[in-house]
Amino acid sequence: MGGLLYKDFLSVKGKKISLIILVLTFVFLVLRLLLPGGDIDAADAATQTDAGLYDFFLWTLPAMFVFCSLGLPSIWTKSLISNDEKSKIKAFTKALPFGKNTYIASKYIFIAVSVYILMSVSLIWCEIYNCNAGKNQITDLIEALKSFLIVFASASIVIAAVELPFFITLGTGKAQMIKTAILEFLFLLVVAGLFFGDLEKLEKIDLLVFVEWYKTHTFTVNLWAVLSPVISTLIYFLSFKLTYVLNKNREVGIDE
Amino acid sequence: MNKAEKKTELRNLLIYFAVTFGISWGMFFAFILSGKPFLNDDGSVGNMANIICTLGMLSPAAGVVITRHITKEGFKLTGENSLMLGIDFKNGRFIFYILALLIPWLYTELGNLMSVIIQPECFDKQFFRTAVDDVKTVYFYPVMAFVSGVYFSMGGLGEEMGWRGYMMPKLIKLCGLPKAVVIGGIIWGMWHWPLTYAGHNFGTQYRGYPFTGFAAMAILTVFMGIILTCITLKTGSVWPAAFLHAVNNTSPSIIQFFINPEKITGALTDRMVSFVVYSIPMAVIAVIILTVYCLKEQKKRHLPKKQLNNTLYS
Repeated sequence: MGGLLYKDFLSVKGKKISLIILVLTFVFLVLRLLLPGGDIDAADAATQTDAGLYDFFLWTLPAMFVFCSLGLPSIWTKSLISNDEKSKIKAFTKALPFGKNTYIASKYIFIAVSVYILMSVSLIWCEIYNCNAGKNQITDLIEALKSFLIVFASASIVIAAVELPFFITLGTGKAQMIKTAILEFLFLLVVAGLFFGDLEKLEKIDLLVFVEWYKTHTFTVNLWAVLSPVISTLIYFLSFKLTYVLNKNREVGIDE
Repeated sequence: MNKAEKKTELRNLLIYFAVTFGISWGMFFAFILSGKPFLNDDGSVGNMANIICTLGMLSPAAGVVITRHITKEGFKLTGENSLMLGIDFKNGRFIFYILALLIPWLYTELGNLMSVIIQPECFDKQFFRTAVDDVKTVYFYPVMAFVSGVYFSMGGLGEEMGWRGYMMPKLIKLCGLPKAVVIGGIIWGMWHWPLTYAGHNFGTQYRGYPFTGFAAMAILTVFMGIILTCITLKTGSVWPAAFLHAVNNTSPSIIQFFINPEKITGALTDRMVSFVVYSIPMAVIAVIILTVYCLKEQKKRHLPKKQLNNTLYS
């Protein structure tokens, strides 16, 4: 299993990505230490004081990091399988010292470990932001982001739970077509919403209103933080079982 | 284990200590010498100190990686002399993963209960309102601690990879389990000393600061180290220890929300005294676990050597 995980780590260029994340984290830490925030209402003072400007600029970095890093596992599901197809790993599974179950489990474990590590690094980014930030609404926003990290990670796990059975069972060609079709459908829904929906609702979206809601609804936030990982773990496990059942008696085609 | 093997293990261990203490103490002392306040006015850990603690918790893992690279011990995930990163729920081992979540809840709850028993007047039914708005959050708190303990266990994992995953197996080989848990616990406690000095564990306002704090930290880590070591040896993995460590750090107690510090009087107002009272249940649980573990191992000594090794490090 360890060997399979290491192979997957190399196939997604794990060493390079780890180094990039490490360097980016260090650069962000240095930036945060060089640019301290201030105890002001940064939303109003962003253009007036240096401290407000620094906080206003720097909070976008952890926010971007959270969404980019937790989106990575979804990209990796495809590359994990496509790299195996290129090197014909699946064709040799019967000759290798592990079963089909171990092969499928390694993909699920790899994605789960990736989400765990990326979520932990995201948390460190939020901590780095906070370490030299002032007391203002943007800091509250980062606190809210921290509280919802588990929910975002759970969403990432659920997406992987949906994608992995397709990619492992159907191969990257067909699975990518299905994924593209689903994404295009979602894109069409968004476009339809923009054309025919109530756009006034979009104008009312305000992150600071969300922060106020977050501060007054601690129980709801905590309930989500507990339920979402439990539900997503259950879905992930069921997805693994389904993939195993689908591939149990499947012969490997010559073209795979 | 022959003399040459012992010498090698000791050398590797010393390299690990030099690297880990070098990285983490370097960070801790740099922060202390910078003159920045470690604690906020309300006694909580400041944001800058928080990131130092987070990075410090990861340094034992960094120490393991660097040491294994220097000593060429390799990076095996499971088995003997490995990183002990495998997860195996078979042969009833899943019980220890559940225990890893429940044990810190049990001893923190009992620890707070001890304070209430000694001084019942500090129990204030309305006090939780100063900490949270909703009473449901209070009763829900241990479950939140379990979930965040599992999901945000990176800090705990960072420490456990070093102390339980690298140091303890080597110390056990060198001097046996009973001595190893004491020596290992004291070393782990010493690693915390710069933070204890800065006020991270007990603040700075207590009798005999900082030396009583140093002693208390070393004793605490010996007892906690016993629980963590036994659970690591039983599962052959550092993950349950990481979960236990992370849940412990969130202090998953419901009773704590009903203890009003303003109503505490007498000796319990001293942080060191209250800490001793709070830690008694954990010490008792640790001693029980060690006794049960040693008795079971005693029985296993009648098994063939190969089988005994498998039970210890598989």
